[in-house]
Amino acid sequence: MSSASPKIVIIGGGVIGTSIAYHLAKQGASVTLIEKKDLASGSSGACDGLVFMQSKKPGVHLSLAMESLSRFEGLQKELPMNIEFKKIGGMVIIETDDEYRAMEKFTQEQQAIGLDVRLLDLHQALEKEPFLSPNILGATFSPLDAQVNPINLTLGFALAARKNHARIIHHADVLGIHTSNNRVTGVATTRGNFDADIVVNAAGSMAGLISELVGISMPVQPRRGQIVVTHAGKPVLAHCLISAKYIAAKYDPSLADKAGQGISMEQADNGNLLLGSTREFVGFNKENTLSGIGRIIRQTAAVFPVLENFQVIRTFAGLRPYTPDGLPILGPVRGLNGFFMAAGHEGDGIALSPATGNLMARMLLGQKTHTPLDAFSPDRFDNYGGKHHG
Amino acid sequence: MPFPRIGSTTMGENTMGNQELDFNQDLRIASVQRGPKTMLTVNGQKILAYGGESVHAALTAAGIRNFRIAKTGESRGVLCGMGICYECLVTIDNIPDQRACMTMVRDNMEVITEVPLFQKQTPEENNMDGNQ
Repeated sequence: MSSASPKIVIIGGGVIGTSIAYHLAKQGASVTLIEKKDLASGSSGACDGLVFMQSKKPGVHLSLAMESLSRFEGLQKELPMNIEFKKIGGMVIIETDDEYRAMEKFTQEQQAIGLDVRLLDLHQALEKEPFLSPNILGATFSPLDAQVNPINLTLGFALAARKNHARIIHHADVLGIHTSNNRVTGVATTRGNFDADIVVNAAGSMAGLISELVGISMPVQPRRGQIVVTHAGKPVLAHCLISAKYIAAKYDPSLADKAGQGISMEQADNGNLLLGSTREFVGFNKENTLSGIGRIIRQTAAVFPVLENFQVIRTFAGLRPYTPDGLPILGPVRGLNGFFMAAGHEGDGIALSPATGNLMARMLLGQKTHTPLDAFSPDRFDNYGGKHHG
Repeated sequence: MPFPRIGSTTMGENTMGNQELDFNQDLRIASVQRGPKTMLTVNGQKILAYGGESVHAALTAAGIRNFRIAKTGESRGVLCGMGICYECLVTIDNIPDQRACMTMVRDNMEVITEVPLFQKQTPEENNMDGNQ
């Protein structure tokens, strides 16, 4: 890049910010990443590692997920960390007739666009996962679903970005964003000021607060997800699992109240089972609750009774960056030149980070993006009540 | 004098496993009052235990210190002894990965350790239950 290349400052050292930093730095761009605490100290370090394709709605969301999936295998080799990426296949557990009908329709839509997903009856489901409860009705299966170590992925992106001369500043709290003539010019932090031609808001659940610094309202809200970790045991789970209720809760919060919030389950590389999750609007409160943990344990044990032999060793919670339409917000903000959004992936940040980083880097450097990003544009929230920057 | 490390050569020839064991040995403090006598099976070998003992205590009293093999290939035994560290995992009655230190002995309990045990061979070996 010439010296005329833009100075890019990314706010947020989670999986999205570090992925953008890596993809930019790989192209030789001038990148500074600013993180309030430590890398992966927010949601990227307080989540599970599911890379689910079949939980995504056909359309832009699934396209972005498929592009990410195709990049993970390359990243496993490219990044200077073992990201523990494994394409082990995933199952959606069906427990009621209503869910069966809903999943039948959901998988038909996915099959129509060529996604490799199939409906399994109880017998077929138990063949794939012998420890599942015989009381379930069946499952859907896709060999495309995968899992990854989210912390290693974030650190891998950051290390690779730094190798490519990106600057990573941690423990720097953003105090303000400098502007001049309706254009960003820099970011003020507790560790100094950084000049910027472009500022990327990749602050995850805090992206709304960062936007407010420049008077722009973005509807990103923290949504708490609690997770339960068991001791490291022998392999008992060959695939990653979610329940059909999880898909319902993801796309219709009112269903979450009615039918429960669904569960997710994976066995990490080390043998620990990660059991999730909740979807709660409680502001920036990251505490675990007895009722949340209790529900996760009850519901996972109901479909996976062998959990009785496992001990819980830890619980934690992360704040997923929720948006009203369930899609991330990616792209330039109309009200302020040089100010870009890259946040709001809710529970899909890990799975979508490879494609998000690549597409954002291309967009920021004025290159063509082969996946159309219109559906993710911040413009769709223009009438959200935000005032344009004057 | 350095403290002998489990798995180190100071413990015997089996650097990664249990040294040859005499399952008839009893390392218990004699003066302690105990519950009723019972027997455990450890990797097919009978060992003595008393009601109220943990599996950890019974194995330790029989001189068995190395229980499982870590991801690194090294052997592991009891570290914290109070349920926190998950180093002492053994298979108990066909349920894998149970904490020896937190499981109380029961009659006819079957314990399997990942680290093999080697019975010391002596010509006049008597089994604990006397038939063989």
